[in-house]
Amino acid sequence: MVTDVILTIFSTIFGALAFWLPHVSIWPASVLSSIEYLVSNLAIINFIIPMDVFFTCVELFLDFCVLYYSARLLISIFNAWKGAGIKI
Amino acid sequence: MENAFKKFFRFFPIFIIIFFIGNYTNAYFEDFDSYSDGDQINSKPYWELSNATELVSNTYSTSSPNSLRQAGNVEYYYNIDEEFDVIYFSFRNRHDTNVAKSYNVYGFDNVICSSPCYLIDNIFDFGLRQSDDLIYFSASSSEHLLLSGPVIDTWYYAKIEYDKTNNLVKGTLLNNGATSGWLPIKATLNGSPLQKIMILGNTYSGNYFYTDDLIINTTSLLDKISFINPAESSISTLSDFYWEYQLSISTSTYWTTYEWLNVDLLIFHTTSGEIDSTSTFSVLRYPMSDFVPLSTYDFIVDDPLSFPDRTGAYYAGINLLGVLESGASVSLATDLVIFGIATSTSGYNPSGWCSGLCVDLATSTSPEWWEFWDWSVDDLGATLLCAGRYTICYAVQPHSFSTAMFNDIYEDFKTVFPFNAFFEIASTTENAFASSTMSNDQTFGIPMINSEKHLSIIPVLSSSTLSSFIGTTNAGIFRTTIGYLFYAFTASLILLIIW
Repeated sequence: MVTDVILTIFSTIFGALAFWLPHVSIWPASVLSSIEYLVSNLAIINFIIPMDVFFTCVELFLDFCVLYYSARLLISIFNAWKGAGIKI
Repeated sequence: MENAFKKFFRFFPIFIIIFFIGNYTNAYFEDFDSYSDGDQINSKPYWELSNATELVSNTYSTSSPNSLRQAGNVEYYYNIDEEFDVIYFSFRNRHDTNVAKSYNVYGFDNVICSSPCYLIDNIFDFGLRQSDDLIYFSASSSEHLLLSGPVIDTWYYAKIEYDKTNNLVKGTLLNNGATSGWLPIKATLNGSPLQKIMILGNTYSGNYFYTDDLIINTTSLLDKISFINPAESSISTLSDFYWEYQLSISTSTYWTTYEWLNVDLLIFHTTSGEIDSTSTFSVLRYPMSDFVPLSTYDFIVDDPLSFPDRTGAYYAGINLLGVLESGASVSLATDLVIFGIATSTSGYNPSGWCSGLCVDLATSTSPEWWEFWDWSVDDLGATLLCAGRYTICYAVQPHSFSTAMFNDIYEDFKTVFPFNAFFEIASTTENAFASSTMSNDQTFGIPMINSEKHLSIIPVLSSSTLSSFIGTTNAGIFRTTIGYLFYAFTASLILLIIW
Protein backbone atom coordinates (compact mmCIF):
# COMPACT_ATOMS: atom_id res chain seq x y z
CA MET A 1 0.00 0.00 0.00
CA VAL A 2 2.86 2.37 0.75
CA THR A 3 4.31 1.86 -2.70
CA ASP A 4 0.83 2.05 -4.17
CA VAL A 5 0.24 5.41 -2.55
CA ILE A 6 3.53 6.75 -3.86
CA LEU A 7 2.74 5.51 -7.33
CA THR A 8 -0.72 7.01 -7.09
CA ILE A 9 0.71 10.39 -6.12
CA PHE A 10 3.02 10.35 -9.12
CA SER A 11 0.22 9.12 -11.33
CA THR A 12 -1.99 11.97 -10.15
CA ILE A 13 0.66 14.55 -10.93
CA PHE A 14 1.51 13.17 -14.33
CA GLY A 15 -2.13 12.53 -15.12
CA ALA A 16 -3.10 16.10 -14.26
CA LEU A 17 -0.29 17.48 -16.39
CA ALA A 18 -1.23 15.20 -19.26
CA PHE A 19 -4.84 16.33 -18.95
CA TRP A 20 -4.22 20.07 -18.78
CA LEU A 21 -1.29 20.52 -21.13
CA PRO A 22 -1.76 20.55 -24.90
CA HIS A 23 -0.85 17.58 -27.05
CA VAL A 24 1.08 19.68 -29.50
CA SER A 25 4.33 18.59 -31.05
CA ILE A 26 6.87 21.22 -31.93
CA TRP A 27 8.94 18.93 -34.08
CA PRO A 28 8.06 18.69 -37.76
CA ALA A 29 7.95 15.18 -39.13
CA SER A 30 10.95 16.03 -41.29
CA VAL A 31 13.09 16.56 -38.20
CA LEU A 32 12.16 13.21 -36.74
CA SER A 33 12.69 11.40 -40.02
CA SER A 34 16.04 13.13 -40.45
CA ILE A 35 17.14 11.72 -37.12
CA GLU A 36 16.28 8.24 -38.31
CA TYR A 37 18.17 8.89 -41.55
CA LEU A 38 21.19 10.22 -39.67
CA VAL A 39 21.27 7.23 -37.34
CA SER A 40 20.98 4.73 -40.18
CA ASN A 41 23.90 6.41 -41.94
CA LEU A 42 25.99 6.59 -38.82
CA ALA A 43 25.50 2.87 -38.39
CA ILE A 44 27.27 2.31 -41.70
CA ILE A 45 30.61 3.53 -40.36
CA ASN A 46 30.56 0.91 -37.66
CA PHE A 47 33.36 -0.83 -39.53
CA ILE A 48 35.67 2.06 -38.62
CA ILE A 49 34.36 3.36 -35.32
CA PRO A 50 32.37 1.30 -32.79
CA MET A 51 29.05 2.99 -33.42
CA ASP A 52 27.19 0.35 -31.43
CA VAL A 53 29.00 1.58 -28.32
CA PHE A 54 28.33 5.15 -29.35
CA PHE A 55 24.61 4.44 -29.63
CA THR A 56 24.64 2.75 -26.24
CA CYS A 57 26.27 5.84 -24.75
CA VAL A 58 23.70 8.13 -26.34
CA GLU A 59 20.89 5.96 -24.96
CA LEU A 60 22.52 6.05 -21.56
CA PHE A 61 22.69 9.80 -21.70
CA LEU A 62 19.09 10.14 -22.83
CA ASP A 63 17.85 7.80 -20.11
CA PHE A 64 19.78 9.80 -17.55
CA CYS A 65 18.23 13.03 -18.81
CA VAL A 66 14.75 11.53 -18.54
CA LEU A 67 15.29 10.47 -14.94
CA TYR A 68 17.19 13.58 -13.90
CA TYR A 69 14.84 16.19 -15.27
CA SER A 70 11.76 14.22 -14.21
CA ALA A 71 13.11 14.14 -10.69
CA ARG A 72 13.82 17.86 -10.78
CA LEU A 73 10.31 18.52 -12.02
CA LEU A 74 8.76 16.45 -9.24
CA ILE A 75 10.92 18.10 -6.62
CA SER A 76 9.95 21.53 -7.84
CA ILE A 77 6.27 20.58 -7.66
CA PHE A 78 6.82 19.23 -4.18
CA ASN A 79 8.49 22.52 -3.21
CA ALA A 80 5.55 24.44 -4.57
CA TRP A 81 3.20 22.27 -2.56
CA LYS A 82 5.20 23.07 0.57
CA GLY A 83 4.85 26.76 -0.20
CA ALA A 84 8.49 27.33 -1.08
CA GLY A 85 7.62 28.48 -4.56
CA ILE A 86 8.50 26.89 -7.86
CA LYS A 87 12.24 26.44 -8.14
CA ILE A 88 13.49 24.51 -11.09
CA MET B 1 -1.00 33.79 -9.53
CA GLU B 2 0.83 32.68 -6.44
CA ASN B 3 -2.43 32.58 -4.50
CA ALA B 4 -3.92 30.38 -7.17
CA PHE B 5 -1.02 27.97 -6.81
CA LYS B 6 -1.43 28.00 -3.05
CA LYS B 7 -5.12 27.24 -3.32
CA PHE B 8 -4.44 24.45 -5.75
CA PHE B 9 -1.77 22.83 -3.66
CA ARG B 10 -3.85 23.21 -0.52
CA PHE B 11 -6.33 20.81 -2.02
CA PHE B 12 -3.72 18.65 -3.66
CA PRO B 13 -3.79 15.89 -0.98
CA ILE B 14 -7.56 15.67 -1.40
CA PHE B 15 -7.11 15.11 -5.12
CA ILE B 16 -4.63 12.37 -4.33
CA ILE B 17 -7.02 10.61 -1.96
CA ILE B 18 -9.95 10.86 -4.37
CA PHE B 19 -7.79 9.59 -7.19
CA PHE B 20 -6.49 6.71 -5.11
CA ILE B 21 -9.88 5.61 -3.84
CA GLY B 22 -11.49 6.01 -7.23
CA ASN B 23 -8.90 3.99 -9.03
CA TYR B 24 -8.74 1.26 -6.46
CA THR B 25 -12.47 0.92 -6.33
CA ASN B 26 -12.28 0.33 -10.02
CA ALA B 27 -9.30 -1.97 -9.61
CA TYR B 28 -11.02 -4.11 -7.06
CA PHE B 29 -14.02 -4.29 -9.27
CA GLU B 30 -12.11 -5.16 -12.41
CA ASP B 31 -9.32 -7.55 -11.69
CA PHE B 32 -8.29 -7.29 -8.12
CA ASP B 33 -10.07 -10.42 -7.05
CA SER B 34 -8.19 -12.95 -9.05
CA TYR B 35 -7.83 -15.48 -6.32
CA SER B 36 -10.68 -15.23 -3.93
CA ASP B 37 -13.86 -14.16 -5.65
CA GLY B 38 -14.37 -16.96 -8.05
CA ASP B 39 -12.49 -15.69 -11.05
CA GLN B 40 -11.73 -18.36 -13.55
CA ILE B 41 -8.20 -19.51 -13.93
CA ASN B 42 -7.21 -19.99 -17.53
CA SER B 43 -5.35 -23.17 -17.20
CA LYS B 44 -5.64 -25.27 -20.30
CA PRO B 45 -3.86 -28.54 -20.78
CA TYR B 46 -2.44 -28.81 -24.24
CA TRP B 47 -0.17 -30.77 -26.42
CA GLU B 48 1.66 -28.59 -28.87
CA LEU B 49 2.30 -31.65 -30.94
CA SER B 50 1.73 -34.79 -29.08
CA ASN B 51 1.06 -38.42 -29.57
CA ALA B 52 -0.23 -38.57 -26.04
CA THR B 53 -3.72 -38.79 -27.42
CA GLU B 54 -4.16 -42.45 -27.98
CA LEU B 55 -6.29 -43.89 -30.68
CA VAL B 56 -7.38 -47.39 -29.93
CA SER B 57 -9.04 -49.97 -32.05
CA ASN B 58 -9.81 -53.57 -32.79
CA THR B 59 -9.53 -55.14 -29.45
CA TYR B 60 -13.02 -55.69 -28.27
CA SER B 61 -15.50 -56.84 -30.80
CA THR B 62 -18.89 -58.45 -30.81
CA SER B 63 -18.26 -60.04 -34.17
CA SER B 64 -15.29 -61.26 -36.11
CA PRO B 65 -13.48 -60.22 -38.14
CA ASN B 66 -13.52 -56.53 -37.36
CA SER B 67 -14.34 -54.14 -40.11
CA LEU B 68 -11.64 -51.77 -39.00
CA ARG B 69 -8.21 -53.16 -39.36
CA GLN B 70 -5.89 -50.57 -37.94
CA ALA B 71 -5.88 -47.08 -36.57
CA GLY B 72 -3.25 -44.76 -35.29
CA ASN B 73 -0.90 -41.93 -36.18
CA VAL B 74 -2.62 -39.50 -33.90
CA GLU B 75 -1.32 -35.99 -33.77
CA TYR B 76 -2.96 -33.40 -31.62
CA TYR B 77 -2.12 -29.76 -32.07
CA TYR B 78 -3.32 -27.56 -29.32
CA ASN B 79 -2.88 -23.86 -29.97
CA ILE B 80 -3.38 -21.99 -26.79
CA ASP B 81 -3.60 -18.60 -28.45
CA GLU B 82 -5.53 -19.75 -31.49
CA GLU B 83 -9.13 -20.46 -32.07
CA PHE B 84 -8.66 -23.97 -33.35
CA ASP B 85 -7.28 -27.22 -32.13
CA VAL B 86 -6.46 -29.72 -34.81
CA ILE B 87 -6.33 -33.48 -34.56
CA TYR B 88 -5.09 -35.82 -37.24
CA PHE B 89 -5.45 -39.56 -37.24
CA SER B 90 -5.65 -42.33 -39.75
CA PHE B 91 -7.43 -45.63 -39.99
CA ARG B 92 -7.54 -48.57 -42.32
CA ASN B 93 -10.76 -50.36 -43.05
CA ARG B 94 -11.36 -53.91 -44.15
CA HIS B 95 -12.61 -54.28 -47.70
CA ASP B 96 -13.22 -58.00 -48.01
CA THR B 97 -15.60 -59.01 -45.24
CA ASN B 98 -17.57 -57.08 -42.69
CA VAL B 99 -17.05 -53.85 -44.53
CA ALA B 100 -17.97 -51.00 -42.26
CA LYS B 101 -20.81 -48.95 -43.63
CA SER B 102 -20.19 -46.14 -41.28
CA TYR B 103 -17.84 -45.02 -38.62
CA ASN B 104 -18.48 -43.16 -35.46
CA VAL B 105 -15.67 -41.08 -34.04
CA TYR B 106 -15.72 -40.25 -30.38
CA GLY B 107 -13.44 -37.96 -28.51
CA PHE B 108 -13.51 -38.08 -24.79
CA ASP B 109 -11.60 -36.73 -21.92
CA ASN B 110 -11.75 -39.49 -19.42
CA VAL B 111 -11.57 -43.24 -19.46
CA ILE B 112 -12.32 -45.77 -16.84
CA CYS B 113 -10.89 -49.05 -17.91
CA SER B 114 -11.47 -52.10 -15.80
CA SER B 115 -12.36 -54.69 -18.39
CA PRO B 116 -14.53 -53.98 -20.18
CA CYS B 117 -13.72 -50.31 -20.58
CA TYR B 118 -16.31 -47.67 -20.96
CA LEU B 119 -16.37 -44.00 -21.62
CA ILE B 120 -17.45 -40.99 -19.77
CA ASP B 121 -17.69 -37.37 -20.77
CA ASN B 122 -17.80 -37.44 -24.53
CA ILE B 123 -16.34 -34.36 -26.08
CA PHE B 124 -17.65 -34.94 -29.55
CA ASP B 125 -19.33 -37.60 -31.57
CA PHE B 126 -19.90 -37.61 -35.27
CA GLY B 127 -20.19 -40.13 -38.03
CA LEU B 128 -17.87 -41.07 -40.86
CA ARG B 129 -20.06 -42.86 -43.32
CA GLN B 130 -19.34 -44.85 -46.39
CA SER B 131 -21.25 -46.82 -48.94
CA ASP B 132 -19.63 -49.33 -51.21
CA ASP B 133 -17.90 -46.74 -53.26
CA LEU B 134 -18.24 -43.55 -51.32
CA ILE B 135 -16.97 -42.26 -48.06
CA TYR B 136 -18.16 -39.07 -46.61
CA PHE B 137 -18.68 -37.18 -43.47
CA SER B 138 -22.27 -36.81 -42.56
CA ALA B 139 -23.94 -34.41 -40.25
CA SER B 140 -27.47 -35.33 -41.20
CA SER B 141 -29.30 -37.28 -43.86
CA SER B 142 -29.40 -34.24 -46.12
CA GLU B 143 -25.84 -33.06 -45.62
CA HIS B 144 -22.90 -35.06 -46.63
CA LEU B 145 -19.59 -34.68 -48.30
CA LEU B 146 -18.62 -37.20 -50.90
CA LEU B 147 -15.28 -38.71 -51.56
CA SER B 148 -15.19 -40.66 -54.77
CA GLY B 149 -13.59 -44.00 -55.13
CA PRO B 150 -14.16 -47.58 -54.14
CA VAL B 151 -13.61 -48.90 -50.67
CA ILE B 152 -10.14 -50.28 -50.95
CA ASP B 153 -7.60 -51.59 -48.58
CA THR B 154 -5.86 -48.35 -47.87
CA TRP B 155 -5.33 -45.79 -45.19
CA TYR B 156 -7.76 -42.96 -44.69
CA TYR B 157 -6.69 -39.80 -43.02
CA ALA B 158 -9.04 -37.74 -40.95
CA LYS B 159 -8.64 -34.25 -39.71
CA ILE B 160 -10.80 -32.87 -36.94
CA GLU B 161 -10.80 -29.23 -36.08
CA TYR B 162 -12.18 -27.70 -32.94
CA ASP B 163 -13.59 -24.26 -33.35
CA LYS B 164 -13.23 -23.20 -29.75
CA THR B 165 -14.92 -19.87 -30.27
CA ASN B 166 -18.10 -21.20 -31.81
CA ASN B 167 -17.99 -24.57 -30.14
CA LEU B 168 -18.06 -26.49 -33.39
CA VAL B 169 -16.28 -29.49 -34.72
CA LYS B 170 -15.33 -29.69 -38.36
CA GLY B 171 -14.12 -32.79 -40.06
CA THR B 172 -12.12 -33.51 -43.17
CA LEU B 173 -11.47 -36.90 -44.61
CA LEU B 174 -8.50 -37.47 -46.84
CA ASN B 175 -7.65 -40.45 -48.94
CA ASN B 176 -4.23 -40.66 -50.55
CA GLY B 177 -3.70 -36.98 -50.00
CA ALA B 178 -6.96 -35.83 -51.55
CA THR B 179 -8.80 -33.35 -49.43
CA SER B 180 -12.48 -33.87 -49.47
CA GLY B 181 -13.41 -30.49 -48.09
CA TRP B 182 -15.14 -29.16 -45.07
CA LEU B 183 -18.42 -29.85 -43.49
CA PRO B 184 -19.38 -28.30 -40.19
CA ILE B 185 -20.68 -30.85 -37.78
CA LYS B 186 -22.22 -29.39 -34.74
CA ALA B 187 -21.14 -30.93 -31.53
CA THR B 188 -21.11 -29.89 -27.94
CA LEU B 189 -17.71 -29.51 -26.45
CA ASN B 190 -17.33 -29.31 -22.76
CA GLY B 191 -13.94 -27.71 -22.99
CA SER B 192 -12.18 -30.57 -21.33
CA PRO B 193 -8.84 -31.79 -22.55
CA LEU B 194 -9.08 -34.49 -25.12
CA GLN B 195 -7.60 -37.70 -23.83
CA LYS B 196 -8.52 -40.32 -26.35
CA ILE B 197 -10.15 -40.80 -29.71
CA MET B 198 -12.17 -43.87 -30.46
CA ILE B 199 -13.47 -45.15 -33.78
CA LEU B 200 -16.42 -47.44 -34.01
CA GLY B 201 -16.93 -49.23 -37.26
CA ASN B 202 -20.56 -50.09 -37.91
CA THR B 203 -22.07 -52.59 -40.29
CA TYR B 204 -25.76 -52.55 -40.97
CA SER B 205 -28.48 -54.54 -42.61
CA GLY B 206 -31.47 -52.59 -43.79
CA ASN B 207 -32.23 -50.10 -41.09
CA TYR B 208 -30.46 -52.03 -38.44
CA PHE B 209 -27.19 -50.75 -37.06
CA TYR B 210 -25.06 -52.48 -34.59
CA THR B 211 -21.71 -51.75 -33.19
CA ASP B 212 -19.10 -54.01 -34.51
CA ASP B 213 -15.70 -52.87 -33.53
CA LEU B 214 -13.23 -51.70 -31.06
CA ILE B 215 -13.47 -50.11 -27.78
CA ILE B 216 -10.41 -49.61 -25.65
CA ASN B 217 -7.15 -51.37 -26.10
CA THR B 218 -6.94 -52.55 -22.54
CA THR B 219 -3.60 -54.26 -22.93
CA SER B 220 -1.91 -50.99 -23.76
CA LEU B 221 -3.10 -49.45 -20.55
CA LEU B 222 -1.89 -52.09 -18.19
CA ASP B 223 0.69 -50.96 -15.74
CA LYS B 224 0.28 -47.53 -17.07
CA ILE B 225 -0.78 -44.22 -15.76
CA SER B 226 -3.65 -43.36 -17.96
CA PHE B 227 -3.36 -39.65 -17.59
CA ILE B 228 -2.06 -36.94 -15.44
CA ASN B 229 -3.65 -33.67 -15.83
CA PRO B 230 -4.64 -30.49 -14.18
CA ALA B 231 -8.28 -31.09 -13.50
CA GLU B 232 -9.33 -28.17 -15.61
CA SER B 233 -12.98 -28.97 -15.67
CA SER B 234 -13.04 -28.80 -11.91
CA ILE B 235 -11.25 -25.51 -11.56
CA SER B 236 -13.43 -22.70 -10.45
CA THR B 237 -10.95 -20.75 -8.41
CA LEU B 238 -7.26 -21.06 -7.94
CA SER B 239 -7.74 -22.63 -4.56
CA ASP B 240 -9.51 -25.50 -6.28
CA PHE B 241 -6.61 -26.24 -8.55
CA TYR B 242 -5.51 -29.82 -8.23
CA TRP B 243 -3.97 -32.64 -10.20
CA GLU B 244 -5.63 -35.84 -11.03
CA TYR B 245 -4.23 -39.00 -12.45
CA GLN B 246 -5.41 -42.49 -13.01
CA LEU B 247 -3.65 -45.76 -12.52
CA SER B 248 -4.61 -49.05 -14.09
CA ILE B 249 -3.08 -52.16 -12.65
CA SER B 250 -2.49 -55.39 -14.48
CA THR B 251 -2.21 -58.95 -13.29
CA SER B 252 1.49 -59.05 -13.99
CA THR B 253 3.23 -61.34 -11.57
CA TYR B 254 6.05 -58.97 -10.85
CA TRP B 255 3.61 -56.51 -9.48
CA THR B 256 3.48 -58.23 -6.14
CA THR B 257 7.23 -58.34 -5.82
CA TYR B 258 7.29 -54.69 -4.80
CA GLU B 259 6.69 -53.46 -1.30
CA TRP B 260 5.73 -49.96 -2.19
CA LEU B 261 4.45 -47.96 -5.07
CA ASN B 262 5.98 -44.53 -5.41
CA VAL B 263 4.41 -41.82 -7.50
CA ASP B 264 6.68 -38.89 -8.24
CA LEU B 265 5.34 -35.74 -9.81
CA LEU B 266 7.56 -33.11 -11.32
CA ILE B 267 6.73 -29.78 -12.87
CA PHE B 268 8.91 -27.87 -15.26
CA HIS B 269 8.11 -24.32 -16.16
CA THR B 270 9.33 -22.74 -19.34
CA THR B 271 8.74 -19.39 -20.94
CA SER B 272 10.86 -19.61 -24.05
CA GLY B 273 11.47 -23.28 -24.57
CA GLU B 274 14.17 -23.36 -21.91
CA ILE B 275 13.32 -24.92 -18.59
CA ASP B 276 13.67 -22.12 -16.10
CA SER B 277 12.41 -23.81 -12.99
CA THR B 278 11.76 -27.28 -11.74
CA SER B 279 9.84 -28.26 -8.71
CA THR B 280 9.05 -31.58 -7.20
CA PHE B 281 5.34 -31.49 -7.02
CA SER B 282 4.76 -34.43 -4.85
CA VAL B 283 6.30 -37.74 -3.88
CA LEU B 284 3.72 -40.19 -2.68
CA ARG B 285 4.21 -43.72 -1.46
CA TYR B 286 1.55 -46.36 -1.14
CA PRO B 287 1.80 -49.90 0.21
CA MET B 288 1.46 -52.30 -2.68
CA SER B 289 -1.02 -54.31 -0.66
CA ASP B 290 -3.49 -51.47 -1.11
CA PHE B 291 -3.89 -52.29 -4.77
CA VAL B 292 -5.93 -55.00 -6.37
CA PRO B 293 -4.95 -56.31 -9.79
CA LEU B 294 -7.13 -55.45 -12.75
CA SER B 295 -8.40 -52.36 -11.04
CA THR B 296 -8.33 -48.71 -11.74
CA TYR B 297 -7.57 -46.05 -9.20
CA ASP B 298 -8.07 -42.37 -9.34
CA PHE B 299 -5.76 -40.10 -7.43
CA ILE B 300 -6.06 -36.44 -6.69
CA VAL B 301 -3.12 -34.40 -5.56
CA ASP B 302 -3.86 -31.04 -4.10
CA ASP B 303 -0.73 -29.14 -3.29
CA PRO B 304 -1.05 -25.39 -3.03
CA LEU B 305 2.71 -24.97 -3.27
CA SER B 306 2.45 -25.79 -6.92
CA PHE B 307 -0.26 -23.40 -7.95
CA PRO B 308 0.68 -22.27 -11.42
CA ASP B 309 0.99 -18.53 -11.13
CA ARG B 310 3.25 -17.74 -14.05
CA THR B 311 2.51 -17.50 -17.71
CA GLY B 312 4.08 -19.86 -20.15
CA ALA B 313 4.17 -23.59 -20.58
CA TYR B 314 4.23 -26.15 -17.84
CA TYR B 315 5.54 -29.66 -18.34
CA ALA B 316 4.20 -32.06 -15.78
CA GLY B 317 5.79 -35.45 -15.56
CA ILE B 318 4.82 -38.42 -13.50
CA ASN B 319 6.97 -41.41 -12.70
CA LEU B 320 5.56 -44.59 -11.26
CA LEU B 321 8.13 -46.55 -9.29
CA GLY B 322 7.99 -49.98 -7.77
CA VAL B 323 10.08 -50.05 -4.58
CA LEU B 324 11.59 -53.28 -3.30
CA GLU B 325 12.04 -54.11 0.34
CA SER B 326 15.72 -53.27 -0.01
CA GLY B 327 14.78 -49.77 -1.07
CA ALA B 328 15.78 -50.24 -4.68
CA SER B 329 13.22 -48.94 -7.13
CA VAL B 330 12.25 -49.72 -10.67
CA SER B 331 10.44 -47.35 -12.97
CA LEU B 332 7.19 -48.95 -14.07
CA ALA B 333 5.64 -46.22 -16.14
CA THR B 334 5.97 -42.56 -16.94
CA ASP B 335 3.74 -39.98 -18.49
CA LEU B 336 4.03 -36.37 -19.47
CA VAL B 337 1.55 -33.64 -20.20
CA ILE B 338 1.97 -30.05 -21.23
CA PHE B 339 -0.35 -27.28 -20.31
CA GLY B 340 -0.12 -23.57 -20.60
CA ILE B 341 -1.27 -20.46 -18.87
CA ALA B 342 -1.75 -17.54 -21.19
CA THR B 343 -2.37 -13.91 -20.58
CA SER B 344 -4.35 -13.46 -23.75
CA THR B 345 -7.48 -14.89 -22.26
CA SER B 346 -9.35 -12.93 -19.68
CA GLY B 347 -10.00 -13.43 -16.06
CA TYR B 348 -6.73 -14.56 -14.60
CA ASN B 349 -4.09 -12.17 -13.44
CA PRO B 350 -0.91 -14.20 -13.24
CA SER B 351 1.05 -11.54 -11.41
CA GLY B 352 -1.37 -11.63 -8.51
CA TRP B 353 -0.88 -9.71 -5.34
CA CYS B 354 0.67 -11.36 -2.33
CA SER B 355 -0.72 -14.80 -2.89
CA GLY B 356 0.25 -18.09 -1.36
CA LEU B 357 2.39 -16.59 1.38
CA CYS B 358 1.18 -18.94 4.08
CA VAL B 359 0.97 -22.24 2.28
CA ASP B 360 3.89 -23.62 4.26
CA LEU B 361 2.28 -22.73 7.58
CA ALA B 362 -0.08 -24.94 9.52
CA THR B 363 -3.13 -22.83 8.90
CA SER B 364 -5.69 -25.51 9.36
CA THR B 365 -9.34 -24.73 9.10
CA SER B 366 -10.18 -26.36 12.36
CA PRO B 367 -10.56 -24.35 14.44
CA GLU B 368 -11.50 -21.52 12.14
CA TRP B 369 -9.45 -18.40 12.40
CA TRP B 370 -12.09 -16.54 14.36
CA GLU B 371 -12.39 -19.30 16.95
CA PHE B 372 -9.40 -17.93 18.77
CA TRP B 373 -10.46 -19.50 22.05
CA ASP B 374 -9.66 -22.89 20.53
CA TRP B 375 -6.35 -21.90 19.09
CA SER B 376 -3.29 -23.82 20.06
CA VAL B 377 0.09 -22.19 20.41
CA ASP B 378 1.03 -23.46 16.96
CA ASP B 379 -2.14 -22.03 15.45
CA LEU B 380 -1.48 -18.68 17.06
CA GLY B 381 2.13 -18.62 15.90
CA ALA B 382 1.25 -19.59 12.37
CA THR B 383 -1.56 -17.07 12.22
CA LEU B 384 0.62 -14.24 13.49
CA LEU B 385 3.40 -15.17 11.11
CA CYS B 386 0.96 -15.34 8.24
CA ALA B 387 -0.53 -12.00 9.18
CA GLY B 388 2.93 -10.48 9.33
CA ARG B 389 3.84 -11.76 5.91
CA TYR B 390 0.68 -10.44 4.33
CA THR B 391 0.97 -7.11 6.12
CA ILE B 392 4.49 -6.52 4.90
CA CYS B 393 3.69 -7.74 1.40
CA TYR B 394 0.60 -5.56 1.05
CA ALA B 395 2.50 -2.58 2.44
CA VAL B 396 5.55 -2.80 0.23
CA GLN B 397 4.70 -4.67 -2.94
CA PRO B 398 2.74 -2.58 -5.41
CA HIS B 399 -0.17 -4.19 -7.09
CA SER B 400 0.15 -4.71 -10.80
CA PHE B 401 -2.77 -2.34 -11.24
CA SER B 402 -0.73 0.50 -9.71
CA THR B 403 2.30 -0.11 -11.86
CA ALA B 404 0.18 -0.51 -14.98
CA MET B 405 -1.76 2.65 -14.21
CA PHE B 406 1.42 4.63 -13.57
CA ASN B 407 2.96 3.32 -16.77
CA ASP B 408 -0.08 4.28 -18.84
CA ILE B 409 -0.28 7.77 -17.39
CA TYR B 410 3.45 8.34 -17.73
CA GLU B 411 3.32 7.34 -21.38
CA ASP B 412 0.49 9.85 -21.87
CA PHE B 413 2.44 12.49 -19.98
CA LYS B 414 5.39 12.09 -22.34
CA THR B 415 3.25 13.18 -25.28
CA VAL B 416 2.22 16.63 -23.97
CA PHE B 417 3.94 19.92 -24.56
CA PRO B 418 6.55 21.00 -23.46
CA PHE B 419 7.75 17.60 -22.27
CA ASN B 420 7.28 16.00 -25.63
CA ALA B 421 9.91 18.34 -27.03
CA PHE B 422 12.45 16.15 -25.30
CA PHE B 423 10.70 12.80 -25.20
CA GLU B 424 9.90 12.76 -28.90
CA ILE B 425 13.52 13.34 -29.82
CA ALA B 426 14.66 10.77 -27.28
CA SER B 427 12.21 8.08 -28.32
CA THR B 428 12.83 8.71 -32.03
CA THR B 429 16.55 8.42 -31.51
CA GLU B 430 16.29 5.27 -29.42
CA ASN B 431 13.92 3.67 -31.90
CA ALA B 432 16.30 4.55 -34.72
CA PHE B 433 19.15 2.97 -32.76
CA ALA B 434 17.12 -0.17 -32.23
CA SER B 435 16.18 -0.48 -35.89
CA SER B 436 19.52 0.47 -37.42
CA THR B 437 21.75 -2.22 -38.84
CA MET B 438 25.40 -2.16 -37.99
CA SER B 439 27.68 -2.87 -40.88
CA ASN B 440 31.22 -4.24 -40.76
CA ASP B 441 31.77 -5.01 -44.42
CA GLN B 442 31.51 -1.52 -45.88
CA THR B 443 34.28 0.17 -47.77
CA PHE B 444 35.14 3.83 -47.69
CA GLY B 445 36.30 5.04 -51.09
CA ILE B 446 37.33 8.21 -52.86
CA PRO B 447 36.24 9.17 -56.35
CA MET B 448 38.78 9.33 -59.11
CA ILE B 449 38.64 10.19 -62.81
CA ASN B 450 41.21 8.33 -64.82
CA SER B 451 42.94 9.40 -68.00
CA GLU B 452 40.07 8.05 -70.07
CA LYS B 453 37.66 10.30 -68.14
CA HIS B 454 35.92 7.43 -66.45
CA LEU B 455 34.74 7.94 -62.88
CA SER B 456 35.67 5.19 -60.47
CA ILE B 457 35.69 4.76 -56.71
CA ILE B 458 38.99 3.71 -55.25
CA PRO B 459 38.63 1.74 -52.03
CA VAL B 460 40.65 3.40 -49.30
CA LEU B 461 39.36 2.16 -45.99
CA SER B 462 37.68 -1.09 -45.06
CA SER B 463 37.22 -3.18 -41.96
CA SER B 464 40.47 -5.00 -42.65
CA THR B 465 42.56 -1.87 -43.21
CA LEU B 466 43.43 -1.29 -39.57
CA SER B 467 44.15 -4.97 -38.99
CA SER B 468 46.49 -4.96 -41.94
CA PHE B 469 48.46 -2.05 -40.53
CA ILE B 470 48.71 -2.87 -36.83
CA GLY B 471 47.53 -6.46 -36.57
CA THR B 472 44.22 -7.98 -35.54
CA THR B 473 44.91 -7.88 -31.80
CA ASN B 474 45.95 -4.26 -31.80
CA ALA B 475 43.01 -3.34 -34.01
CA GLY B 476 40.70 -4.93 -31.47
CA ILE B 477 42.38 -3.03 -28.63
CA PHE B 478 42.10 0.17 -30.63
CA ARG B 479 38.41 -0.36 -31.25
CA THR B 480 37.75 -1.21 -27.60
CA THR B 481 39.64 1.88 -26.50
CA ILE B 482 37.50 4.12 -28.65
CA GLY B 483 34.46 2.54 -27.05
CA TYR B 484 35.78 3.35 -23.59
CA LEU B 485 36.42 6.90 -24.70
CA PHE B 486 32.76 7.15 -25.67
CA TYR B 487 31.78 5.95 -22.21
CA ALA B 488 34.18 8.40 -20.55
CA PHE B 489 32.80 11.26 -22.57
CA THR B 490 29.23 10.32 -21.65
CA ALA B 491 30.10 10.10 -17.97
CA SER B 492 31.75 13.51 -18.13
CA LEU B 493 28.69 14.98 -19.75
CA ILE B 494 26.43 13.58 -17.01
CA LEU B 495 28.75 14.91 -14.31
CA LEU B 496 28.68 18.33 -15.90
CA ILE B 497 24.88 18.36 -15.88
CA ILE B 498 24.72 17.38 -12.23
CA TRP B 499 27.39 19.93 -11.41
